[in-house]
Formats: sequence, structure tokens, C-alpha cells
Amino acid sequence: MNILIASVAGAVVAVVGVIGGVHAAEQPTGTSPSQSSVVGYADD
Amino acid sequence: MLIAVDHVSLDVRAHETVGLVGESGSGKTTVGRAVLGLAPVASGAIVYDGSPIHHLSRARRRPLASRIQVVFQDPFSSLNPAMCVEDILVEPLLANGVSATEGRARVGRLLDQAGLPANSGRRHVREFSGGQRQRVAIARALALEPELIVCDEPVSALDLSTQDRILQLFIEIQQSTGVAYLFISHDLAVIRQISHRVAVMKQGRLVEFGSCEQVTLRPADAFTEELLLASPVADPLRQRDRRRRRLERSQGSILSHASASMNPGSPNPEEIK
Repeated sequence: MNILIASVAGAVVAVVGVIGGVHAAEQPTGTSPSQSSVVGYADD
Repeated sequence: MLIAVDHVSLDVRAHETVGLVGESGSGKTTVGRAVLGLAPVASGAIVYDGSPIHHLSRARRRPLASRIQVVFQDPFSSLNPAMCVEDILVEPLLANGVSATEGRARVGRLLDQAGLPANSGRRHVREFSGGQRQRVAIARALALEPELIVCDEPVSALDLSTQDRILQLFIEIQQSTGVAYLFISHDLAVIRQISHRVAVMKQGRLVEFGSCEQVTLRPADAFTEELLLASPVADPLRQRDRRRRRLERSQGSILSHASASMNPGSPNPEEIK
């Protein structure tokens, strides 16, 4: 049951109907940044 | 296929704290990681400031690092023990094009914002306590002046008195900078203290989302009520009553499951009462 449609307008971030965190075997490869790139480190 | 998060929708507004609470394994950390781009999104969207960001490549996501930051649960593993505090705070600034001189000039202000002594810069994180390390992690998250910080159980590894001081620090920082938090915790007392709105997750789904007052005082969902009952209170009489109600609920649930499995066609004991 989807209990809320996120209000995108005016939101800093909105998560809308996300299905995620699928099992590793199902993950697309090479699209997820590392922890260090989130923090802003030069990791390339 | 194992799905950690199933059709979750929520939003975080500017200057706001949304608490994301649920039992272990409910998918709350996965939601936070999906916002950060660390967990794959199979369907749906994550919209930041009006633009979808869930599909961005690693390179295109880089500029977002200055706008969305993170504080992880364990300050003992999220900070490099070989680096001094100043280097830890300057590194994200350098990676985002700030000069070394300007970066080092900002360190004093960051230490002050995080409530750390001005002379902390040249010390290594291994010299600090857990609470102080988490202050360093918070200062690092603030370095790029983000609009949103995903806080993934940031006080769970700390003792109770330190928890309180760090939560107060989060609140003071929000008041002075206007930053928004997606604050993930399994502890409703923590969530109640810091959140404007609260989202409750169970088994990958959102079961309730509303104002902090409504969710924590007048929960609409039975699971939220169970979570509230599981959180201990200091009054022994109230605690005894809560323990009794929790026990009654769990016995009712066990009876219901047993009845359903032994007599699939029989009515639920809860319905007989």
C-alpha cells in the first residue's frame, strides 16, 4: 500500500514510490558512487 | 529478488527534520542510502530540488556532494584515523575546488560550529572520544554548506548523555544554517526529540507519515503503537502498564498466527473478542 504521494513541490528532496535496495545479484553495476564521493572526496 | 524498500514516498522540506524510524531491517537505512546514491533504485524517483537524481552517473552526481551530505552511525569507522582533524575537514573543500588557504581558514569556523576546541585541528581523531569524533563527522558534513544532511543513526553508538548533547548540536546547527535533515534512527525517543515530521517503516514499507506530535502521541498505525510501547519510560508504573499492553499484543498475535495455521478457515481470535 502506498500511503503517500510525496509533495515534490517545495521539497528539498522527495522520495517518490521508490522500490530499491534490491538484492546484490539484481543490482546494475557501475552506477552507485562510493561513500567517499558522497562526502566529496576526490576518489576518481 | 530481495527488495529492501517497497514503494516508499516521503519528502523533506527546507529547514525541516524528517525522522525515519523503524525496527532493524525495515529498510530505513536503504532509503537514506538511495537518497545519497549509494543504493540502487529499481523503480520510482528521488527528486532533489525539482530534478530527478536517482539515475545520475557517478560523475554527474559529484556536484551534488556539496548539497547533500551524510553523517554515518559509527564515528570510529567513518573517519580516517591516520588523518588529523584539519585534513579531514579540508579534504572535501579541496575536492570541490576551494583553495588550500581558504579551506584551512574555514576549519576554525567548522570546529566552532561543531562545538570542538579551536586547537582540535592538528590532533588525530584517535585522540577523541566517540562524541567528539561524531562532532568531527558533523563538522565534515557541514564543510560544504549542504542543504540536506542524511543522518544515519548518528547517535546510536553514543552513550545517553552524549546523545543528548549531539542531538542539541544538530538542532542548533539547523537553527543557524537552515539545513534539512533526513534523520534515521530506530529509537523513537531520539526521533521525537529532533523531528518535525516522522515516517515509520516496517518491512520495507512506509506505514505512517505525519507530524511528530501526531505520530508519537496519537499513532494511527498499530505498528507505530507497538514501537512506542517498546520504548521504555522512566516512570515504573507507566512502564509496567506498557509492558503488560505489549505482552497482551504479542500474545494476541501469537494466538492469531497459531489459529490461522492450525485452522485456516477458522475466525481470528482477535475478531472473537
